[in-house]
Amino acid sequence: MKRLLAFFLIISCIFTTGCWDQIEITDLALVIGTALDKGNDPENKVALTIQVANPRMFIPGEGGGGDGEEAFWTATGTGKTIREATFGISHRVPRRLFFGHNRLMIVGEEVAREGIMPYLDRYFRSRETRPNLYILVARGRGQDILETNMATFRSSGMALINMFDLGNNHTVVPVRLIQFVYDLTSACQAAVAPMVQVVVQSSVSIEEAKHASRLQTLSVKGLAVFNSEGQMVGEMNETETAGLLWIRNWAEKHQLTVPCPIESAKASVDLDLMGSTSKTRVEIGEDGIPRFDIEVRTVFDVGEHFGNHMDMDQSWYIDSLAKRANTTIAREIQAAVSKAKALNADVLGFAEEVHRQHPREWEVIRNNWPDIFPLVEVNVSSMSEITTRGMSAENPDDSLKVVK
Amino acid sequence: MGDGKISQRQLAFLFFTILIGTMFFHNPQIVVGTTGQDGWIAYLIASFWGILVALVMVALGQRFPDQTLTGYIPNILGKPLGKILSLLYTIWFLFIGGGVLAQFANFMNTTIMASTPKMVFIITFVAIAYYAVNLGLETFVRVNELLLWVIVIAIILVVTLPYELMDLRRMLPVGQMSIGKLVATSLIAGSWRGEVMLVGMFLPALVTLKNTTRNMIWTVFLVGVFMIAVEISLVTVFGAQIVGDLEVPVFNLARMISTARVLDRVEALVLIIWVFATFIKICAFLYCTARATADTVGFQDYRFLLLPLSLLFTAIAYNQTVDPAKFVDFLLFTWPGYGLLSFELVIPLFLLIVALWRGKREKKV
Amino acid sequence: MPYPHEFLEISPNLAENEKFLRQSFEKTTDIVFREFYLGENRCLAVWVDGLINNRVSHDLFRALMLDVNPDRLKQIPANERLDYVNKHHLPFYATLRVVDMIELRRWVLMHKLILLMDGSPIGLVLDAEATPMRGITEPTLESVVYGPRDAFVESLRINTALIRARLGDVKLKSENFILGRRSNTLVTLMYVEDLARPDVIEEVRNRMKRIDTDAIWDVYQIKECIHDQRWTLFPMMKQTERPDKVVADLLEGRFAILVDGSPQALTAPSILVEFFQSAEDYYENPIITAGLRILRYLSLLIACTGLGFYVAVTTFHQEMLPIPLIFSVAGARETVPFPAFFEALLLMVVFELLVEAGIRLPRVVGGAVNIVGALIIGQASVQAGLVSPILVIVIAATAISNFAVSVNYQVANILRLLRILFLIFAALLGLYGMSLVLLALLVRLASLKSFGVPYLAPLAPASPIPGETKDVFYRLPKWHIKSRPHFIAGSDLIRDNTQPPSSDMGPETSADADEGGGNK
Repeated sequence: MKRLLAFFLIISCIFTTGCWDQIEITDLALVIGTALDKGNDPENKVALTIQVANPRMFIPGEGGGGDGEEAFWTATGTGKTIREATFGISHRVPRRLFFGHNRLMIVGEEVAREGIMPYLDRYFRSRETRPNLYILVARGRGQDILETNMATFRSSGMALINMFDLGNNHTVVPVRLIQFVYDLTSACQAAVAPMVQVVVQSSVSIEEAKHASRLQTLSVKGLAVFNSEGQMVGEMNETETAGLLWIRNWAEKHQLTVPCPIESAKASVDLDLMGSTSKTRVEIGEDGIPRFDIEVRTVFDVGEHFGNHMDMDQSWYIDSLAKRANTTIAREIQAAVSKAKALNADVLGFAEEVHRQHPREWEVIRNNWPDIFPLVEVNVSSMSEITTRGMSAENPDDSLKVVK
Repeated sequence: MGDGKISQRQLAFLFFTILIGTMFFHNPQIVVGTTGQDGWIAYLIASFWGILVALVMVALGQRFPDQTLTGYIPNILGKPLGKILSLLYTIWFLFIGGGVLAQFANFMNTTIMASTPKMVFIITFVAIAYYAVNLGLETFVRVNELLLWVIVIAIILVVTLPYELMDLRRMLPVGQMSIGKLVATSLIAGSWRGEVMLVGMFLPALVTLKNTTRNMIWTVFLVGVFMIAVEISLVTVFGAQIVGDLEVPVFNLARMISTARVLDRVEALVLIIWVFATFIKICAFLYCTARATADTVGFQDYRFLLLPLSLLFTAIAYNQTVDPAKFVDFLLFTWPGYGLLSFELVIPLFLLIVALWRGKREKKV
Repeated sequence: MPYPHEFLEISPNLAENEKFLRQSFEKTTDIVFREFYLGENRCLAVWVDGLINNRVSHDLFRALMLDVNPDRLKQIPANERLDYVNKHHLPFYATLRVVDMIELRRWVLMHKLILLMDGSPIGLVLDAEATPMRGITEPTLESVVYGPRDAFVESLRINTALIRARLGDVKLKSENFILGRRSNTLVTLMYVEDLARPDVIEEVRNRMKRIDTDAIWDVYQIKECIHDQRWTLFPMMKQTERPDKVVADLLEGRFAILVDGSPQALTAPSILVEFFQSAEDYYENPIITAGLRILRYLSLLIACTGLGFYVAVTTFHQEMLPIPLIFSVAGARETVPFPAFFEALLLMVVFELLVEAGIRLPRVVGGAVNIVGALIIGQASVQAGLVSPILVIVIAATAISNFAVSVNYQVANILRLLRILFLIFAALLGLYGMSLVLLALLVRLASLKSFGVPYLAPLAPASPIPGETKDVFYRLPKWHIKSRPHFIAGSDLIRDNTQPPSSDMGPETSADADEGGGNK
């Protein structure tokens, strides 16, 4: 009985002192994405834009609140730090900003070019934000990305999240913050992040689009390349991005368009990636310069044949399609390598490979890596297989078959 | 309400929880921080230290099967010196137990409940631990028997679920660190494993001493295996560099889990499982402290000591909450000396040697 | 049968005895004194009106008054005449020879017919009992789809008969106790002698003897007096209305207590898991049973913690909800004026009220309660914006889980209480608070013992003998559970030696069967 009494006394202590971390869900402003830009004011260097969900739009059965209310709204604040910028917003918001569902870190191009390092700390230190959110670089200001009013999706932030959750294909490359930071801090000291820009939805001019809402949309294309200082030093176009995916073994849903083996036909064949693995072998040359043998094994499905002539039922045709795929892959890889060399940013993970495969030599190379990297030699061997050809074995127009 | 006996299985389960309980808070951060991706070698060597401690303690316990560690120290060393050492052990239990509690409160504050005062965690925890230990050794040992499965499953889930983010190649290259550094780090990791020394307080409660050595070695080894799994998971997800920079890395690992559309962030669930492990650990330390005090002062029963000792635990835990940098410094530089190199391994080893040399063993009644 | 404290020898003089009885039963209109002559011997029969089978008593008087040869009787010495009658002329199943007047008087009150004869210093107790009684019906609380459909009734004899009918073992013992100074209730303790642990039986005997109360009319009253804890939320002994459950318990080495007038039996030592085992589990495919048991434990989890979890997640750990879900939850909560905790408490209390009302109300009005409940809780409160529809779903889920887990009704009520506890602590400290409750609960459960058996056995302490958990989270086939639970049964631990069934028919293939059927 005494024990029971003591127990209840302790409980009553808790009751009377209140509940510290408790907050009602209705008192929260759910932030789903953040964008970082340079502030205009030299004092306040950071401009933070957040996209917040408006729960009034999610009341079941009513399908939306009052007139003109949007399901998501954005707000921008400035400050010396990200945190201060957050407080700059919070006095305009009647709820507590909650970053637990923040899934996006959009970095404005200006910030990226100047150096991203100072902006990373908050995202790792925060209790609410998870470091596996997606990082991306905006062409222009990040604020514009979040403020884009999309016709096709509830909000720009949600659209980006959804797009990245679906995994990567050859243009959209989701990069999580921990991957980004890992690359920056690893031996490579360079990282990539996808680039996003506002584009016009339909065939209206940009000027028109700015006035009429819901005519803009977002496009994720290409990669921003960061050097060891965390500064964005350049971009990779689609071909180079594809090459990077091959080298880093990140390729998941990829699609190649190769010319038809029958050259006279001037047709194109589309190959869809079914599975791929890539291995990088490093050999250190006598001059101390590493040589990289990249071996890519891929399996493709024929997605489309655009043109007149084909011999899909001939094995030589399939074989030469595979050869053409090999050529394309090799070309893409070499494009990525030469871009990385040009920017002198080892986004291909070569340094890590050297470190892993030749730890002793790496100790020597380590300090001169920025000088050595542009000199490295890369050999590509690609082995493609075409195992399926879709649901059609033959071009319907059989009479046009060319017999070789 | 006499203390019942516990079985070999219960003892092994109990020590699994005790050893793995606080391993998660700062341990991987320190080990991976100093030895990089080779941390698992340090953990492997640490298992060796742990096994050594277990061997020494069981060898001592077999010479005095009906007495606890603090009970037979005076028998080995003689009254005045032995009593002083017993007292030192009592204080050691008290402070390590208080330290575990402080770490836990700190951890709760760091992770999900930032503004709840530490005192709330400490008091609620000590209250339930007092309740459990007061009901006897059997009680919390049984509770552990149930919770262990939850703890093990939770660890396995935390280690495996972030599989999407894992890149096994981050474990390479192997063997970058010098042996000296690995051994030095293993002393730190081994100080946690050395807590198996608490077994000296539990041996007299066993039904039979048969197979104790084998079971304890297995326990220490399995804890090592789990820690290695944790380390591998951490390094493959974050990379060695980042792990060293993270506050409570395993919790961060849990934060990486995203089961997408059902439960997004399971870290709060994971956290309550750490609550379980820490709870058992606090119970064990509270029990050891009470037993040690009773032995040293010469009381037969220890239960009436629990209330004052619980209050002492509370006070010590509350006052031990220092700033995190200082605490990690303590774990890095002081803890091995305070743990493995003195109370956990060196002193028991010394006791064993003296006992062998003077031919001391329990007088058969 | 234990003697009462007082002792009064039956006098050979019938008048004296009659005087005593008449004095005792003064102002008692429902006692019948029937005086008659057996030859020349004056006899007296006494019984409680309405508790004796009329037809039997008719036969009795016919036998005594008409069929006894008075001359033969005269040759017997006077003090042995009643014994002679007992041996030769009473066509009864059970008669009892009593020399104590007090005891005899008590038998009258315990629905027996007593017979006294002038000159004989003894009394006869005749079992012509016909207490008002309903027939054997189907179990109401523990109904099953498969398996036996009889349930205990209020009559002790029938209840023991139901058990004995299933368990024709010579070792099945039953001991009678008469409890209640005023009620004189017959209580039977049953156990299988070589299965139950002797120390447990001795302990229960002692505990039964310790009961010193005026009246007992239900097993629960016995349970409160003899179980292991003064205060306990958890049932330390199992009450059941199913004879097959009692038989199964007896065979596992438990004892059973039956009380006259109570349609339930009490079995112990009890462990926690048996309160989640339905009788039907044993009459159903083991694979199905495993699934059902998992479902049951899952519903246990939901029933206890579902509501608390909702409150903890919406007020402490909002990050746990994935993005689309948190929008729905936030949207649903948007119009609710109360804090989540109060909202949950409100709806839960209303729901519990409905449950209680549904139990107490006559069946005719029950439908009305359902309609009111469905309309008010389901529709109006959501439409009025008092509670969020998501909470209604959560409450409904916990309620359904609660019913799904209630193999034992008492456990279901405990879960209702625990739910509030979890809710309160979830509102105070979130998931941490809930884990504190869980810890305290586990500590409490781990410390309990029912007649020396740890309450959490065979999970904690886990039995050193492998295979004790064959009947906890799942149930293996009967031939697979070779032994009785070691922590309960005393001796004769081998329960089953059946060979695993196989499809082999001829002797020429039996060699293969021996090698293949390695389930030893």
